[in-house]
Order: sequence, then C-alpha cells, then structure tokens
Amino acid sequence: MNPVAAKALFDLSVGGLDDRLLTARGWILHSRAFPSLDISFRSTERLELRLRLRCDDWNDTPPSVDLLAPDGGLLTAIPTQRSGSTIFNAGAHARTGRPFVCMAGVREYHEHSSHVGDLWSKYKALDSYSLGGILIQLWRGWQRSWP
Amino acid sequence: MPPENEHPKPHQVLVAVVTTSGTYPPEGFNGVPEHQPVKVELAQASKKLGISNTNGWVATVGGRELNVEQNYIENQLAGEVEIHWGPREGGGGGYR
Repeated sequence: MNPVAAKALFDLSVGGLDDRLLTARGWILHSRAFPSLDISFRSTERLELRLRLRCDDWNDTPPSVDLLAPDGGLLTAIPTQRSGSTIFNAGAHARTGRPFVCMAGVREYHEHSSHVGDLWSKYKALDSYSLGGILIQLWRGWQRSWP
Repeated sequence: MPPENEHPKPHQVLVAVVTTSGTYPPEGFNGVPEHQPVKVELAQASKKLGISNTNGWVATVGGRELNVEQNYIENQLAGEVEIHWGPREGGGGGYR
C-alpha cells in the first residue's frame, strides 16, 4: 500500500474513535499517530490491557498487535485467562518471540503456521475488520477471557 | 432534527448507538418508541455512519447482549440507553 494512502485510511478509521465511545467503553487512547494506535482497555472487573496496533501498510496488511503492560512495556507473559478459549496466545510467536493475539485481522495470526492459509484478503473489505472493527473484537476478547 | 437529550416522552426510550465508526446521533440521544424493535435504530445508525456490512455484529448494553429482533421493553431497556454495536470477538487459534 502506498504510504500516503495507508495513512489516509488509518486516519479515517481512527477518526471514529470519539470521546463518547472512548469514555463509554473505558478505552484510554494514548496515541493515534500513524502508523501506530496505542490504546488501553480499563475496567473495574479485570486487569488493564494496553495494546499497540502497528498499521504500516494498512490495509494491504493487517495490524501487528503488541501486548503491553499499562506502562507501555512489552508483555513477555500473559496472565492465566479466565476462559479456556481465548484470542490471547501465551506461547512465543515465531517472529516476535512473545505472547500474541491469535485472531483473524491480526498480522501475527495470519503469519502463524497454523493459519497462513486463512488469508487477510478474505477479511480486509469487511466492516468488522476495519481498524475499529478489529479493535472492538480485541476488546470483546479481553472482556471475555482476561482476568 | 436536534438531538433529544432531556427526558424521554411517554412510551419512548432515549437511544444512542455507539460504534467505532462513530456515534448515532453524534450528540445526545434519539427518542424512539419503546415498542420498536432495536434493529430499526441500528439500521438507521448503519445508514448514517456509512456501515455497510454488519453481519454477525452484536448489540450490548452494559455488557449484556440484546435481542435486536425484540423491542426495548422486551430487552428491559428504559430511559437513556447507549447501545454498543460491533463485531463479536474474532475467531482464532483459541490456545491457552
């Protein structure tokens, strides 16, 4: 993707993250400067999770998602999940060596040897896989399984 | 029409639909009949926000999933309601 076009698509997508949405969902937006979206999910019911979505080459390539501690440091381990089925993979990803998000719409998933046949091109035009759509899927995953 | 952001009229619910593409209405709430199926306001929101494909999306209030075929009373909703609408948690590896 042309970098100018990628930035334009990125800016359009993150522009929908308005104050009302952020407040209602307990999302703390640290940065939305292309190519990174840095955001925390907060709730009184579970531990905070901070994510950095790196969106270079958006949307020809899905975002790479870093799992972060609240202070912004990279997580090298994730807490035991509340439910057996989770999008958060505690294993080391082959490229990053760290826990990762194993969900369609996330670069680490599509790169994973178990899912390389599940092509991003199947998803990229769907509203559920806009940046906002991916973000809400991550949020719901966090709500369901993060302790 | 200006947003209705005061008190609901009799047999109305004040509704805002919150998505990552924006909120409908952008400010305040819309007054809608309490006997109207939830899906009607969602359809209006998708049109106004330019969302074309909502297959598999889920509407929640306070973390509770709504039956969008049912109306607000059947969904036990009254007063001011912010409906969070978007895709379900994605599928993936499901590893521990």
